[in-house]
Amino acid sequence: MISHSLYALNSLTSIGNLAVDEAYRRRGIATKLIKVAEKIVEKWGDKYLFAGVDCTNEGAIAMYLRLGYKVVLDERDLINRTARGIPRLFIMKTIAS
Amino acid sequence: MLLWPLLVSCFTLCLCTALHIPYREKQHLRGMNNGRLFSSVKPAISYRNAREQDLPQVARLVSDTFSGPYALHQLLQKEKDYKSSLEQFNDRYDKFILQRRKKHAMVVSVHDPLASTNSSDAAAVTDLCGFLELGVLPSPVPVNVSLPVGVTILATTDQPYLGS
Repeated sequence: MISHSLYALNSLTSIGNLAVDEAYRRRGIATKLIKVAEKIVEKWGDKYLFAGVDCTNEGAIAMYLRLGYKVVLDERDLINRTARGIPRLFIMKTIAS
Repeated sequence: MLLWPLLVSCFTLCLCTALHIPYREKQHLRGMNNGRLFSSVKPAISYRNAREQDLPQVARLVSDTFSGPYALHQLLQKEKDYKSSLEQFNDRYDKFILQRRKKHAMVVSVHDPLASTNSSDAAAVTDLCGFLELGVLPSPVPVNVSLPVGVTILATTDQPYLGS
């Protein structure tokens, strides 16, 4: 169960940018980068790691789900969403118990 | 008559073994499809914290990933996106990494050309092949949105969010 305070999204540790050169894709580099990020978050003593992904980016979504992330918010469900291009999925993982 | 299925099985097994392509070779064949040259050794990828001198490559990678692809007539826009990204990364690197104002990390994955036996392979690709930024970043969620679970998010959109 996601706690109420978890939704203070501004204070959450999040992945802001994740990019892999096109020539190097499908080699597990993004997966490894996320695992490195999780170790950093654990070292910082933070409990959750958060990311926003374009809902059309099926490859990235599948990767995050495979790594144990859960979708906490689908921007398409928001009634008062401002027009910002492609709607995103907000996903989260509990890093430390 | 009873030996016949056994013979067929043995033949099939031998054929499959002979035609089997090892995983590494498959990866290289995939690399060739991307226009890269063939090499007999998989390039080594290592992971480390970004350094200041990596930032131009990081900005190029991120702007190409999130703003591209560009047509010929969009070259000026491409340069503008790159400069904007570089400015943002330099700023965040200075404030958050060097001055340690916030918890922040910039991780890069780097291709080590020395791990490849074919030197032309190393020259054909860029050194920096991946990037991840991590920190307490401003939320991309619009202000005061209501969630289906009955909770309201108090979030700001005061800074650009490049995506992930």
